[in-house]
Amino acid sequence: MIRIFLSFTFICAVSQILAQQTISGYVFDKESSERLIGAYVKSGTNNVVATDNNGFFSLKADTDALVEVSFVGYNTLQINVQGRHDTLLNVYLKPGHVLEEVIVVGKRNEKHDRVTMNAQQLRAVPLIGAKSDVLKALEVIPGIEMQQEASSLLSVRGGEPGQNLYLLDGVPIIHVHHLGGFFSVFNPDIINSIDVYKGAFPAKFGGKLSSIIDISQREGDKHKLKGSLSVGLTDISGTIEGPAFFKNSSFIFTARKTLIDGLMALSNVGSEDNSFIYMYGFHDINGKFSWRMNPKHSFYFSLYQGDDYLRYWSKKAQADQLKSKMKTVWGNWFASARWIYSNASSLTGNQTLSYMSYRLMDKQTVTFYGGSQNETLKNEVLSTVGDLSFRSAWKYQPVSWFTLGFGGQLSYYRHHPNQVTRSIESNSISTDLIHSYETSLYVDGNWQLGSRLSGTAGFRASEYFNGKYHYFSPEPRLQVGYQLLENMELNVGYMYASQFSHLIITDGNVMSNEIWIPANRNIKPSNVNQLSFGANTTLFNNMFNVGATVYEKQMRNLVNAPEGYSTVIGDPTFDSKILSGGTGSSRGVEFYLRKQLGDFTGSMAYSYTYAQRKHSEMNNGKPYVPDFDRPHNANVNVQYKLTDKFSLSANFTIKSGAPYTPVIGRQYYIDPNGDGALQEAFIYGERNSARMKAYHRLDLGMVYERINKRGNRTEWTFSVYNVYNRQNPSLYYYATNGSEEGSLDDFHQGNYLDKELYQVSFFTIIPAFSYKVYFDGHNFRNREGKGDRNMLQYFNDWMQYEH
Amino acid sequence: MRSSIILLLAMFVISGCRELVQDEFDAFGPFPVLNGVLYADSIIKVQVSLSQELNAEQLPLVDNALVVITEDSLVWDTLSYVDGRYISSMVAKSSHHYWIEATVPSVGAVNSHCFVPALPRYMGTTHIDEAGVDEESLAYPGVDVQFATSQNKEEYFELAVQMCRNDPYFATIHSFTDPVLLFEGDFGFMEPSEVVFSNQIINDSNYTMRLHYGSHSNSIDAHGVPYMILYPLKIVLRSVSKDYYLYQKSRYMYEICVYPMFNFTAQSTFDLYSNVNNGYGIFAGASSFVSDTIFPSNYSNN
Repeated sequence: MIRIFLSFTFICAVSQILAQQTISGYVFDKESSERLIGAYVKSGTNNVVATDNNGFFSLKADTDALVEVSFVGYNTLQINVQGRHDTLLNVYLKPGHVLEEVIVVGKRNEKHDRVTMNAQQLRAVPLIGAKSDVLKALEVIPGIEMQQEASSLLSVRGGEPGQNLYLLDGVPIIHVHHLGGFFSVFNPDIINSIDVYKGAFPAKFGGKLSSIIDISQREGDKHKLKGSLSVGLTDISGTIEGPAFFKNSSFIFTARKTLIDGLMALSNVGSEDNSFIYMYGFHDINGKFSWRMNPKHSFYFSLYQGDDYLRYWSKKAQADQLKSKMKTVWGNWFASARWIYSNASSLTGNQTLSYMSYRLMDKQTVTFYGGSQNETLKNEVLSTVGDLSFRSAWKYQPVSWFTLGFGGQLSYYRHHPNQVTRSIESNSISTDLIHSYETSLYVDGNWQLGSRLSGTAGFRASEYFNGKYHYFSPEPRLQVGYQLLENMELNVGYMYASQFSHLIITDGNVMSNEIWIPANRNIKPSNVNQLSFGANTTLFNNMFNVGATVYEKQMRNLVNAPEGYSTVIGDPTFDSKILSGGTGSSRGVEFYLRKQLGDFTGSMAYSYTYAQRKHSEMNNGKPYVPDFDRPHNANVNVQYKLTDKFSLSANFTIKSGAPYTPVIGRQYYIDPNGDGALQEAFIYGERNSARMKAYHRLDLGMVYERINKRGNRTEWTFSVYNVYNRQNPSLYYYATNGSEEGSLDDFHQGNYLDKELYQVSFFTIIPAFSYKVYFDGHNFRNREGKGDRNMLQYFNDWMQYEH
Repeated sequence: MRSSIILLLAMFVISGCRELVQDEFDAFGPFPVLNGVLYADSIIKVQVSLSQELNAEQLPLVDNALVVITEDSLVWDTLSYVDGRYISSMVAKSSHHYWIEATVPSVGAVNSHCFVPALPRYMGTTHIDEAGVDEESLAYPGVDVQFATSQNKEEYFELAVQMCRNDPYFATIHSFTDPVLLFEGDFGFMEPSEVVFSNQIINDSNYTMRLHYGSHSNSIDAHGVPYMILYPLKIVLRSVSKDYYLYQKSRYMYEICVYPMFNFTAQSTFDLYSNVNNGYGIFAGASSFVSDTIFPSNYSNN
């Protein structure tokens, strides 16, 4: 009887499967052929999938299925797919503004631990310099805290800034900000979408504890050559894209460069008071080549290079005896090659080979002109990280309710944290090059059981090697969703993750106080356990999206620089001094409300985080608040489309002040080698036991678009940062009231002067504007009177024109 | 380097400003503060004062405390207050333990303990007239100081270069390249007049330490080339107690942290090390060896 029952069940199941077809493929923008990430593909009432980071989807449907494809800002497309064979589709959506049609009932991808932001949302947040910034835009997401002005250090759910993995087209980036955090390195002109994971990381991600920030670059237009040029107060940037040499191939190239460096140098040249010329600047260069060889195979090649540089050199008038120059450069570059394979039977693969290099270099040269002979002395400080990685990620959907993901990663890391080279060899400090390796395998299953229960269960196993030291990390991951009501889903997420390299932030020289060091026998890998629960729903016919999350995470083997340790640079024994073995915990709640339809859209977010750290050698072994803790954090962001040409936006942020360690008293202390005179010293309270004033500010932005006389689309962006000129504290310090500079010299010599606590504020009200002009293909076509051509043809035309 | 950072940060300050946050602070203490270092073969002297809240007037020295010191639990003495210090009739001896208790009327009592280590085993010094050249092309001298260390126990030392001029002073130490000193930690931009270190990473019974020093006196030769004037000097090598070592290291850190590189950057915090129970301060011991005068090959008598 049991056999009969099993046989019957098996036949029914097989019949059901055989009566279905697999529909898979890509969703593209019809005009540019850009892959659309996060587009919804629906068959029937509840069979909904979203396109992944490659614009790929796969779903099981009946043999005669009506498939509906939709995406925000595009007209919905309905396709009738008939037949018993698996189908591979390329779906092209036409840009449109029929917003009511783009929301799919019963969205399944709204998870409490993951947030997706597209380029349109990124541009809606007004920012300094009237230009968008990827990391600053993340401030609108609950649980993500920007530390302070002039900083893009992110603390996610009470974690540390060094615990976030930044991926640009799947390649890890180490250095993510310019000008100390004023801008991020991600040029918004080439950004397609941003996926942020705050917990329950998919098993394919690992190596960091707090968040994964996965940024996709867009592809170039496959039909026409076009570009844009943008000029703002801070920088100039340009984009060019178009069809490349092969059919279905394209390129995109963007570059961004500051304007302030030249101005700074010029102002110094003209200044008689200054004997040096100095300048600061940064640039970013991004390039991407895409080739969709056929529906099954796509190839990509990406390049990025970005640097910050600070230079000074003595003027010629000063060079009669001594001439010095200094160059500090820091930044990273990468090159990556990717192959994406997909077939109609639901198998897709993504293979990426990449090399990333980060370096912080400080180079000083002093030339002494000593009459008959010149002498040149050189001093170079270097801290580097290299990452050569191969990542393989596969997905297979054998049945409609289950998708299997599997793959692996093989990485070779090359750390040289703290090399000092001087022209006088005896003064050089040689430190070892550190080679380490990380291998990982993962598997995960994405399932949909019935109409209500769905989720992903995964497992990642990583093995880390550094010399004779090795560490195995088994990392379970789980995400379960339950459809409680038609538009309401409950989620639970769990993850365990390990981190094998640590960001050490020391108290000293601000130009060399952020150093990455690999885990080793003394500085163990860090780990995290995180559990989260969330609920989200849509209201008023999808007008609003509301969600809440609670989470708790426990961290082990956290790493700190000892209090007062000024720099790792040049210290060959740093690993004996770095404090490891710290523990940390954070728990909190997050709420958000988004209005996603209509001319008036926006979001509200609030998060509360309770975080603590503990280390036997810090704060006398007592728990303390982490340096980056801001418990309350709220943000309101609104956009209003006034007309087709005008749009307005506003962003209000309020959060708790940063913690600081207060002075509670004074005492005399002695210098054993001094003359016996007593000096005064501060007595400090517990570490980070006081808090600065709350931080809040309002930013406004306006975008005006028009077509100029030559037929080019132009965009004026006006923004006002910190509209009501709030003096937000960036730092507190104690000083005497005896001098404007607040020198403490008198205090330490025992001379009585009133002591006071001061704050320093950066970035008060900053109005700014930028101008952007788009050059699209019709200008070129009009001139030549020809249709779509690739880059080679444009080049040939140009050569003929020039001759 | 430093100038450039100042310039960079000045850019930020252009659009920022400084503002008073607080000028009234909570009451604190008073708590007794005991400070004293016992040098072998020297009269025992300590100071007693009181801690106060941040905005209090001048910190008070205590002149009516009862201060009692005990040597190796056998000999004891009550110290007398003379010119701001409590002075004992006893002379501190190397390789002896001392316990001290100071009772301040109406405030409370504090106590502490220290060990005065044996004299260091100094073995000799080689002077190097040009040990390196600094970033401004100025050649600086150095000394290689050789001394013996124990393989079986923790030892702590302090080393200084004393310039023998009419008014002797300690030279500044800079450009650290010695592995033991590098292991002890970076001094930031400080150029201390002495360095403390332990024998933790010294694997031999003898060790030669390289110190680069500055005489605080520069001139320019006939070709316009700057040079450092060298003077006769003495090496001061001390064996110090662990408390002394920890206190000196904390003092470096405290001073690096409390004086930010720029007045508008954040002050880090680092507490001074204290081994005084129920109060603040330091009570430590040291034995000093001072070498014979060393004459650089080209020194000045002025």
